[in-house]
Amino acid sequence: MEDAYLALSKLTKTYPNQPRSAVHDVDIDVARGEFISLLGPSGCGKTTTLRMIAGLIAPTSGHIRVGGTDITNRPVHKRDMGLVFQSYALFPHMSVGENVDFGLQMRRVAKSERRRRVADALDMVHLAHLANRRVSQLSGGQAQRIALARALVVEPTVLLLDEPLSNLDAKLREELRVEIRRIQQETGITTVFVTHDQDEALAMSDRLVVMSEGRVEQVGEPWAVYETPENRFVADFIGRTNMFDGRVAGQSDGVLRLEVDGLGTLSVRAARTGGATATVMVRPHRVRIDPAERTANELKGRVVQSSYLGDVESVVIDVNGTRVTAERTHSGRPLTAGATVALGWGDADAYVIPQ
Amino acid sequence: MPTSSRSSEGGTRRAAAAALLTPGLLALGVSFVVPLVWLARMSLNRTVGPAELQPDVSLSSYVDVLTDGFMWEVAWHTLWLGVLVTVLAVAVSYPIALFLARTRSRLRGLLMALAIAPLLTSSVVRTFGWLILLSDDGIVNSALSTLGIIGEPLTLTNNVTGVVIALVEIMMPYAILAMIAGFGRVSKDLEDAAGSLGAGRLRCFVRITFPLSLPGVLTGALMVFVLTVSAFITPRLMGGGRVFVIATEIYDQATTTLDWPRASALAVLLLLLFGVFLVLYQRLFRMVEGR
Amino acid sequence: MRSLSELIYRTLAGIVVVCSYLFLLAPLLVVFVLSFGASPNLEFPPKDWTLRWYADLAANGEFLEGLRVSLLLGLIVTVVSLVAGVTAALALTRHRFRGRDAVIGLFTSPLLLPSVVLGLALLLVLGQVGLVGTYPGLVVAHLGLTIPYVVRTVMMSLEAVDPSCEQAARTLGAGPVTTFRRITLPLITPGLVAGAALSFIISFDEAVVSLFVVGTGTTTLPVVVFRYVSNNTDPQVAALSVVLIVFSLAAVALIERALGLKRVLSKG
Repeated sequence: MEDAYLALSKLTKTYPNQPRSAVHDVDIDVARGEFISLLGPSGCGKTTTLRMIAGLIAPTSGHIRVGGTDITNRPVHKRDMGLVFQSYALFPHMSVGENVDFGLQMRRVAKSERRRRVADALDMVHLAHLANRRVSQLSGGQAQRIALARALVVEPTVLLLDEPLSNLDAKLREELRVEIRRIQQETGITTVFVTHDQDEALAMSDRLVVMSEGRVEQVGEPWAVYETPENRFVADFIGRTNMFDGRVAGQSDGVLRLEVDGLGTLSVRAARTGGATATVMVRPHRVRIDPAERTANELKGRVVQSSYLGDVESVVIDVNGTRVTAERTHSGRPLTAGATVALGWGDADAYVIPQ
Repeated sequence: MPTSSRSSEGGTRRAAAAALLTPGLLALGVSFVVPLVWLARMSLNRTVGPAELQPDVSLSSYVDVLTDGFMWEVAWHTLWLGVLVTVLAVAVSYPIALFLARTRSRLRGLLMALAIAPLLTSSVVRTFGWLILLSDDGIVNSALSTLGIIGEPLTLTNNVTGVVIALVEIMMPYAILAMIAGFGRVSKDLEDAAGSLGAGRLRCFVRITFPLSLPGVLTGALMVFVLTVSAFITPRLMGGGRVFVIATEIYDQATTTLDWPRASALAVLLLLLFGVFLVLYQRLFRMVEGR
Repeated sequence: MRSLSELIYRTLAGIVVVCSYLFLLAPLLVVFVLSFGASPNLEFPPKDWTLRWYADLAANGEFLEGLRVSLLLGLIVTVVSLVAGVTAALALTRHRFRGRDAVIGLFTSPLLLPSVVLGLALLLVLGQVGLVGTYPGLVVAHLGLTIPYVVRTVMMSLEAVDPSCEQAARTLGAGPVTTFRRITLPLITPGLVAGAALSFIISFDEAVVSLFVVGTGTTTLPVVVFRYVSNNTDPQVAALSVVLIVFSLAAVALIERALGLKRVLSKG
């Protein structure tokens, strides 16, 4: 990306006595004002990457640039980045106001201006009335809002969020998710958000970076990562999915025909793939049960298990020994195990994973 | 280009850790490591005359000590004192420790502090207290004779009886601390369970409480034993110069006889004794814990 | 029937615990009471009361000199132990390096050493370099006893501090020194207070190691008392002992408030 504001290139972190790099050759470009999420299972290197950006971990090799300046070797306190921690990390011996003021003091901002900016920052998170509270008297949601105000008051170049919502309960998490996104858009600050929660990442980000075992698996807008995963890991990690491996039996008019054990021949819209085998993916909500119309792929199977979840019903169906998961959203009595059902999906509902 | 500066970043952290450790390591080095090495070296020198030593690498001081009948007597005396004080100190500390481990009284904090605080008062002061209590016309003797229990005052100071009594008291806080820490497993619930199954108080104690408290008792016993066999102040003051243990012997050899190789050899032997008991203790502890 | 045996058991247990406490505290209580007794023969219980012995104490040059030496020594030892102990504790909690466990072992092993052996060893080394009977020599002698406790209390405090707090301060623009001064130091105050109180009282009460290495003009109070008590017991020593006990109680109160006496003194 040409106008990258924050650029990581070939960033690598290796620890002595550990065969695998914690982070390996990571290239990520973040545009000014962009909200990007690092998403992956625990141990995938997302937090290590974030901490290298913050300067808390020294990379083994590679570069970090902000606004074109190489800051790879700049010490933490001269990087001018705002970091929000999962554990809030508020200073327990200071009041809320003093916490927010700390970064301004470090920058030797004049007292009158400090007072104004602290007030503004607290206003921004709607907690101006708590300025004189002790940190220990805050709820988790309040504490994380204060931590956000503390990080933003110094107007950092980049905002780094290290799983900031993980310690909060579900309802609060959703609330704060919206608020963080609102503040980010209001301030237009370039933001890197680390999370293991894909809902969070999908809902908040301009773009996602999916990581696994220290490597970047895919970078893209949330919908693109979800609809067109570049490999099996991403397909499997983001959302729930059915994946079938098969032999390529033919291709015509942009439709690929795939021979899959137990399922027979499947049709899927796809550009030309090389190779004799391919993996096809169908999201459960694209699989229709007892479809009213004819579909490109029609199968019959036996219900193995049905989980009624309220808004959807998730059904596992056995088709000649291969399991297919389907979701249906219509209301009504859930299917019972053992029932025979027809199922199907269109050739545009499936997707060939590039491998 | 940045590779070198980057490895120097890791280097900076290592340098920071080293710099932070330097004052402490230096202090411990001069106040503890060097002296001990020096002591070991000194024990290998040879004494040729009063206060005169000849640099050497020989075991002659050890041979001297180990062939000296009096030294064996002192050693047995010390061990015997250690065992006796350990048994008594553990016995009188056990009720307090058990009480503190399970009381739900609001005064628990205060009572705990009261039991441990003597640890931080000078053993000279506490021994002085026992000198007053146990002297021929002291409180204990006058109380006993007033009650008509004794005619003649009992000799309780300047002999081993006084040393034992004072040492037992001085070791109590250590024993109590160690035992409370080890009593984690003795839960009142277990005893209540046993009680509800019809076990009497005594049987409950013998079958449940005591076996479960054994690890704590062992730790307490080791602490007391190790501290007793190396105690100096109390044996010297209560013993009035008439009770000889390894510690007083080391002191006399070092400051009166000025036979430093011999004093050092004795000190090294005392350390070895420590080591042996630590190993024995660990074996025993694992046995008791492992059941 | 059941409740009667229960009552007997509780009463017996109560008596045993009270007696054990009495035995434990007897010498301190007796010393305290007799320091106010008028009889010079340490009569118990005293028939008359007086503050004479405390007045005598204030006029006793030897005791006053010992007190001065012990106070000065205690202060120096405390300051040096804090510097050495805090830096070491920082390195041991905030840095991971090879041999860390060994260093932790080293910093806690003096706790297991018999003081007679340590005293003799120090006498030999300090004698070699002419430091026996000097303040530097005494400070060195006490450091081995006090530093482990400071390392221990400060480590306890440091481990309770969330490292993210220090990292947050760094990202907000504070350098390592500012972070330590503004964040770490205020948060480990309890450990510092407890460590300082322990250092001081251990140095102030230390008798055995001192006995080997004191000299003219540097004889500490416990050594003065030890030598005095070797020859005579009188109410003046009782008064002096009460002074020592008061120092101990002050230290106990500080430690109990800061970190808890039991936590600090329990091994492991």
